[in-house]
Amino acid sequence: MSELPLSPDDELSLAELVNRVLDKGALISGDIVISVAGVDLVYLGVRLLVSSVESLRDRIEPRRG
Amino acid sequence: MSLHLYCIVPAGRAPVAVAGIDGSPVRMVAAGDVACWVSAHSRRPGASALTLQAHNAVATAAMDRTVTPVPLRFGQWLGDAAAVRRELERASGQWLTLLARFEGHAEYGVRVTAGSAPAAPDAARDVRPVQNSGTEYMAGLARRQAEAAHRHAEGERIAAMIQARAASMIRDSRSEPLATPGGVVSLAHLVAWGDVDAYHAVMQQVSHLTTLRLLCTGPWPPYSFS
Repeated sequence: MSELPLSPDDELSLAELVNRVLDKGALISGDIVISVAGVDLVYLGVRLLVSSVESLRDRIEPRRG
Repeated sequence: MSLHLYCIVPAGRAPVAVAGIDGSPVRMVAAGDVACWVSAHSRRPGASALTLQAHNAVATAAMDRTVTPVPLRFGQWLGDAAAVRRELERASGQWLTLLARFEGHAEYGVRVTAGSAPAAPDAARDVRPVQNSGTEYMAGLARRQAEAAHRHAEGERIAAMIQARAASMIRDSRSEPLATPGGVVSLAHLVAWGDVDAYHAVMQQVSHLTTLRLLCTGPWPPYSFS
C-alpha cells in the first residue's frame, strides 16, 4: 500500500479524520472490528488505537527526509 | 464477500461517482425509506490513513445542500445485503429522525491548541524515570497539573466565547479535551450551509482574541452528532 507524505497541517487533518471516523459516527449493529497491521481488534475506543495511529505516522515520517 | 458500511441516506439517494475502500464500487442497499451505501470486500480492510480517507470520502460524497447522510463509524461489516436491510428496518425510525435533523447542515470542527510556542509537556507523556528527589518529582507533577488545568480553563473560555458569538449559527455542539501535547480542546459544531460564511467569520474574530491556535476543519459529515 502506498503512503502519502503529510504536511504539518495534513497531519492535523489526519488527526481530525481519525478522531471522527474511528471514534464517532453511528453504530448500525454489533461489535466493531478493526484490523490494524493484520490483527483484528474488537473496537473499544479510539484511545486504544493511538499507538497504532502513531505507528502509522512513524512509517510516514521517514519519507520526508 | 462481506459489505463495508459507509453511511445512511434517504432511499433513492443513489451513490455518486466515488470510489470506496481499495477503489471498490459503492452501491446502495435500501429498506423502506432509508438506504445504506456499501462496498463488497473479500476480507476486512485494515485501518490505515488511506482506508479511513476512503471511508470519509464516500460519506462526504453523499452530502450536499439537500441531503446530509448519517455517517457510520469505520469498522462495521455485515455479511450480505439482506443483513443490511434487516438492520435498516430494525431502527428505521432512528435513521429517519437523524436524517431530518441533519438536513441542510454539516459538521465543522475547531481544534484549539497551544499555538506555535513550544508545547508544554503533557502530564501523561512526560514520564521521567530519573528524578533527583521526591520533592522535585512532586513539584514537577504539580506544575504539569497546573498547566493542564490552565489549558482546560482557557479552552472552556474559548468554547464559551464561540458559543456566545455564533449561537444563532450553531444548531448543536460537542466539546472534548484534546489529549495531545499542547492540545486544549476539540469542538464540533453542526452548522447550516447558509450560515457557514458567518460562522467562519466568527472563528476568525475569536482567533484574534486568544494566543491559542484555532484550526477549523470541515465540512464533515456529522460524525460527532450521529
